[in-house]
Amino acid sequence: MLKRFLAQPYLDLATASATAEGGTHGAVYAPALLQDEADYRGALQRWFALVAVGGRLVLTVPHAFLDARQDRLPVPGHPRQVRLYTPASLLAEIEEALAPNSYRLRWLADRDAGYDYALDRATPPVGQHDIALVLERIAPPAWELAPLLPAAIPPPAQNFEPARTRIETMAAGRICRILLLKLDHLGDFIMGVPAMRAVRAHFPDAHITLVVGEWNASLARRIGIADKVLTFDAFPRNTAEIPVDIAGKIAPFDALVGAHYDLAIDLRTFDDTRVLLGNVDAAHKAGIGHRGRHPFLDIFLPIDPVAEAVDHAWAEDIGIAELHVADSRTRGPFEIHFNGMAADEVAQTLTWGPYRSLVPGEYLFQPFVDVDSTRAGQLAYDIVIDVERVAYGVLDGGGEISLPFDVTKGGQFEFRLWTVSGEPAPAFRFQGGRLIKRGAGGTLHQSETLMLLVELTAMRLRSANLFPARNEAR
Amino acid sequence: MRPIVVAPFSHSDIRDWPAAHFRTLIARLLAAWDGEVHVVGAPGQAIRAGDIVRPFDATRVVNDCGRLTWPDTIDLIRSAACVIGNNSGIAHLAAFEGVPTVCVFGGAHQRLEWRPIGSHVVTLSRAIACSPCHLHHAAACPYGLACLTEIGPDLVCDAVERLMAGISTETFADAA
Repeated sequence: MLKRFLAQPYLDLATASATAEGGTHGAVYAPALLQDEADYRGALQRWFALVAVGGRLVLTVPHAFLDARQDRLPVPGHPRQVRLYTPASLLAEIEEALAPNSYRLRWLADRDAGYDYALDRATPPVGQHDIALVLERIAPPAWELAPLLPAAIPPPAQNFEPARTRIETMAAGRICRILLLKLDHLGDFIMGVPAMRAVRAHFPDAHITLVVGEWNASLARRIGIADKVLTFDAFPRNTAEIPVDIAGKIAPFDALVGAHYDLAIDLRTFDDTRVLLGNVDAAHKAGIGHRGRHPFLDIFLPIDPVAEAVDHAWAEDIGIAELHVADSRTRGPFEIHFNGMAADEVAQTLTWGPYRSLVPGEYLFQPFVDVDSTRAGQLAYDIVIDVERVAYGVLDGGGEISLPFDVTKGGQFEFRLWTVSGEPAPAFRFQGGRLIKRGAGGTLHQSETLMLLVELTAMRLRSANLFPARNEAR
Repeated sequence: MRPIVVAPFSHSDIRDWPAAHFRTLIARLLAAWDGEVHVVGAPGQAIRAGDIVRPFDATRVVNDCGRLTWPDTIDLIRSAACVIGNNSGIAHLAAFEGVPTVCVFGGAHQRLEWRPIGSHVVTLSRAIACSPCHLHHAAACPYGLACLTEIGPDLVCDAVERLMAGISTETFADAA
């Protein structure tokens, strides 16, 4: 079979000179050469370059299972051989070395004609014991294999940063001296104890200075996480009787804590003491809040520590753009403004929408509606889930309105304002509303919030060793 | 000598730095450094890996794409002098293992949320207004993947050399 591909004159690479002319040969033969080439890609590319378009590259290599009859190097008697071959590994080298669509595979075969399988491994093989492969060189098509991307347009410019490539890493912090601020009153101090202990656990060898209100000094010493306890009354002990003036105490605070620190953490959840960190000589400053408000913070936990709605699983403001009106003249840019209407025998829908899809649960809708109670008339509302009315009533005057309703099977939420039959409709202004689903709001306890700040700080500063157990095990 | 490992692929092609850039990077690395470069990836990425390794001497650039078991891949990553990857699993693995890592981070996601972490990791990203776009396919990007194509191989090579030499780099603006 191999002879068929070598019927015409061919270049035998076993005997040819190294200066053979490229791209001119109808057939190039590389008999049992590739297994000795460390750079198989370079060898295959050089040999293939000798072949004319339409011509063939014919290769043979010793078969790992017929020649060496072993699964690893070295091959006895063949010290130059650097690889063992199977048809798959040979083809993989071809595909890796030669550009796709520069060739077609015409033949690949195990050759074992006359092979004596009865011989033991110590006896040199008898019969053919190689792999043969034949490639035909083709003229590459004009198309590429990579996906076609749409013609690119210039990307938009950054608003806050010039177009550039950022090259960034995280700082490796060596934390030897820590300043901890826990200036609150007794209960808040106690809620911060887990976080203070976590600081000690994360930085067991650091010298920790803990600054507390005078009333917490003995407790601070007793919990034993600090090497040094300083007292500083940022607040009066009784804040109900004496005004708080933290900003006015910055200078004495600076004088108190004066030394250099590698890390300073304010462990108060309210941000009123954060200003005390401003002048502290510390490589890293950490606290709860945002750097927009406290620009000196290197590490900040951007959460609001004061929960306003602990029973709100979810809340969404609905604007008037999502609501429909019966009379388009009532729609203004920011509100639906209705001037009143004489009595009619038939109730009319004045506004409706927004058709929000709701899952089952307890809900509250708070319409932002202001009814002109100085004029006679009644304004009715209803809440509909799909086609079923789940709440109905009459609105009287202003004030905050909260309309509870249940959704049992899920469906489209709709809030409507109506006239009442036989009654004039009063003037009103309607600015949408707030839709609230009742449920746990994910509120964090103060001690949990402080622990998150400490963990965040530790992650940022110990980033070179985030997975210590893994690294130490190696 | 410990190898440099290059992981050029993710499973979302909008995160993949262009193959031509990887080729230029590898050429620069080979010129500046005597060790081997190993290219890794999943079996389904082997054709594209061939496109990256093809110009290089097989004794210097080893194509391991699709040829290593997962434990072998982990061992290779652990042994590396440096790992260069995209916003994908191998870069995170290298960071996890404490190996010097250079991550070419595309604009599909916000780098401050999703970068590999550690002071032994350098992340290159493009300041570009369309980021993060959260797209998954390069073909969906109208800007020709500018967030990646405009990160030049020379910058990445410099980052690799600086990281391996222990030279410090700018820290993240919002992260100590």
